[in-house]
Amino acid sequence: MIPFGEKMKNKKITISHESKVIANEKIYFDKNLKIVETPAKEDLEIIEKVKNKEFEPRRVLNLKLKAEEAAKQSEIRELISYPMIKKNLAYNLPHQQSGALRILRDLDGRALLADEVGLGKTITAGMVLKECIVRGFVRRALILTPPSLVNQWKEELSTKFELNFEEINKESEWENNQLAIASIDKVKNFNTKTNEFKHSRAHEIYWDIIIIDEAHKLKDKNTFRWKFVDKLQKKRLLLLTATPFQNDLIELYNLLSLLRRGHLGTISEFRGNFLVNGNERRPLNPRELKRKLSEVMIRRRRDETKGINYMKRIPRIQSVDLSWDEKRAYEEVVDMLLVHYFDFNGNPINTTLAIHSVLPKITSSSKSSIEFLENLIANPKYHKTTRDIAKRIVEQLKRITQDTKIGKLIELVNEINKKDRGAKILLYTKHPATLRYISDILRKQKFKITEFRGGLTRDEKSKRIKEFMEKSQILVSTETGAEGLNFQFCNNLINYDLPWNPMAVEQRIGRLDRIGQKKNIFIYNLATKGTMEEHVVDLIINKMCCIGLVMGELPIILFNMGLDSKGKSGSSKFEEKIMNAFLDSKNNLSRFANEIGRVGNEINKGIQNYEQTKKYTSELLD
Amino acid sequence: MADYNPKDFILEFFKDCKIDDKEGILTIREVPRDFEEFIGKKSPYKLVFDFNLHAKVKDSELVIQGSYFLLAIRDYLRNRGQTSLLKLDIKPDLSELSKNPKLKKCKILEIKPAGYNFLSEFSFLSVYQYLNEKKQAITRFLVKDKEFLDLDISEFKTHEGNKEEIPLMDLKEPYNLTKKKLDMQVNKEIKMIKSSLNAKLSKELNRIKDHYFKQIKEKDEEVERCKEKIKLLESKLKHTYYDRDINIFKRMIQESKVRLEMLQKRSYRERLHAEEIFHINDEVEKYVLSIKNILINITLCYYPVYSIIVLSKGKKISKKYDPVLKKIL
Repeated sequence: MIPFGEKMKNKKITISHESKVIANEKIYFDKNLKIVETPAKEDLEIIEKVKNKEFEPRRVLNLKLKAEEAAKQSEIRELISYPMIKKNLAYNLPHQQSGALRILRDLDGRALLADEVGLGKTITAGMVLKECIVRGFVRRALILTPPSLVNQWKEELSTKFELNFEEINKESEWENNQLAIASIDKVKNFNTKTNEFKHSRAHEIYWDIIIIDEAHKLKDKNTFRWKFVDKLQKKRLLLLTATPFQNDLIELYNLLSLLRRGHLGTISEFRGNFLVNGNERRPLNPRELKRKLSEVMIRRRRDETKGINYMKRIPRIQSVDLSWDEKRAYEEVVDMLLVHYFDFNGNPINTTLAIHSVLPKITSSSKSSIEFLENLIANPKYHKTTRDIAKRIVEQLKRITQDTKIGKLIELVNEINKKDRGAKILLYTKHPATLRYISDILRKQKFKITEFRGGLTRDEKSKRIKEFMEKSQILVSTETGAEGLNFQFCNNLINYDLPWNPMAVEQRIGRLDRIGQKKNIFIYNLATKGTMEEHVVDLIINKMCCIGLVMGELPIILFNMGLDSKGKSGSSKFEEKIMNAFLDSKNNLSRFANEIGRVGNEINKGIQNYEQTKKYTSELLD
Repeated sequence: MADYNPKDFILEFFKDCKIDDKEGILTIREVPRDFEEFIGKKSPYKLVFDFNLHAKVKDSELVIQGSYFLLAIRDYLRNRGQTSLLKLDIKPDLSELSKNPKLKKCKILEIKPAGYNFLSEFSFLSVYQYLNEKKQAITRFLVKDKEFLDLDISEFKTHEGNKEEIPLMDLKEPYNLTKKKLDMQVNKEIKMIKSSLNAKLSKELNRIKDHYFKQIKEKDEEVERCKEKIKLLESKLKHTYYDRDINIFKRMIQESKVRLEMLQKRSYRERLHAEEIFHINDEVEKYVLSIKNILINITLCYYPVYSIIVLSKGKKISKKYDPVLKKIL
């Protein structure tokens, strides 16, 4: 340590928040301590009341004084907000409460929460947030998350913590939102012309708390992402990541620099004290490094926490051989989209978007195909040639009495029943037309069905969940219907059709694969042979969602690979990869299979990197 | 002020409602609508007073020191009970009065009420907030004219006052007086809090200053090293005769000069200094001590003063007596 000279000790401190002083606030300094006195505006009104002889019984004052005493909060010994949120949490996991308490009490709200995936870092962070709000410490809060997790965070904060966060998309939206949430990828954009961050307004606000999810992305201090976060003014900062460093310990240093500048010394000191010469992965003095980390970090492992059992995901792909009519209809639709898809003036319509929005409907069911094609026929913005082709295909489709896929579904449900009589089944489809079709057919087969789709009121949703729990066997749902709901009492999931976005598939599985699930989860997937669907299903289910990752790990991997944000088409970058693979293959299935294989290899590499990172993290921290 | 038992407080607060007390669960029914609307939940309320019971009783509200339900009641009452009027029921104690030095060798002939005197009681709530802590204290001042009285009105027998019996009163002056006195008390509390906060903050600021001091020093040293290297290479260049070495030294000098220029061009001192100020400000804001003093009630008290007729040295003399101050006026 270099001792301070007198000059250093007496260095003048510049305070930059003077402009935000509210009128009448008295601000002064005692040494370095800033003291703000706020006079109550109501005092004169009370004097005026006496003048006007407006009195209330003395009993009210006595009660009021007692209420002040009873509501008084002093040191944080327990989470006073916990009883408010307890009813919204499916399970009480003591490590979440103890983590939140430690962050508030011992770490003054500035911490790196590095629990292993699956322990509920979001819940722990939510508890910190709620407690701060209830105790009156926090008014302005900001949450920065990966793009694909913004909605999940919003939903969890609303349903579990009764906190309504507003998503920030435009710069003008910063001012009016006290509780703000944003995709870090969106707000970190830097305008090189003006030499400013596009969302620089966020830097002018003084945040009472900032929470950053998947904070390992802040590993490089030369990135705009890191610089954006570093410029935020904040009283409390929570960095959430299970893997605080990926390739070398400098990443950990950069992360902690955001939290507590100089905590690990200067970069040269850090290298000297903690890195084995030339090896940025091996710590020189692991015990001392661990001690320094424990001053700002909380990390718990899954094997040391009680109350959580992790169940296996068992995938099953059910191949569906299309009938000749079905196969022909599919081919004709693909041909129409690739060759004869014209607008009113005869100009070709963007095939990429068409493939993405139309093909899944076609592979879903004949009913959703018909619905799409009839809308096209009735829409004058399409060219006559396109509409005529559509008419022809509709006629073919109407000749199909029952989809082969639905027959396979009935077989599958019977098979599940044979294995586990009356077992609850959650059945998903993307398309409302398919949902209605499935429900009709299954009802005719005397299965007890509950339908669940978007647009239901809260009461109606509760009613239907109860019905599924108590009476019916199968819940047929679209994803918007069951978003955020818990069905851990059910362990059979059927994907009648599959979204091309693995995050959406994770969301579906997540309804079942959550804390409280007591059985292994069977994930059945219907995939039509000879269409692109069978390859997409294989990639997403067998190579991504069911490879033994813990819930929450796949989004991290996709985020690390930069595949979770939206691409130019508005779909996720992963979906775009599949679309491009289809277009490049020109409807040649074996070429498409090759392309998908390449995507699979890329994903596999991402998974391996992630596993390696977990290993390094565990070696150092556990 | 002593800690209140939350259950007693709840019973008092809901005393006009229907209360059922069974197996540790208080069920409150027929709650005034304005409270239900304020709290956003319709009665009945099932209130429990410990964590274990709370976990067992469905839809129950946990009531413990600082819990949400108590916070809601406190907020509900915040804008209520801001002013009260009290009449002190106080009569002169004749035996004590006769001992008064001003009535020495006098005989009290008659004593009767003759108008009222006034006192005002100001109650303030002071809230001190820093880091993740909050402290609060209630301070009460009793003022008569321009003087503070060391009395507690709860020691007197009191009734709700009748506003017809009092004149219009402006309490701005006594309010200003109490504010000054409150400030003195608050300063004492601040002194205690700030000494521990300042110690913690100094440690944090020293960490930041130390960090940037070293960073600048390291950069300075790098610049010096670079300059030294250039000097050394230039001197080697002077003394070498081989073309191959000349070229190598020239290249190395050029490289070092570029590095030096880069180091100096970026004005690292200013950049690091600006960063340091930012982090110091951030830390100062983190430790800020906020104080709020809220006047929560003014109670106007009035009580009768007495007219006394005494016989002193054969003469009848009339005097006035204040039974609260125990003074002959």
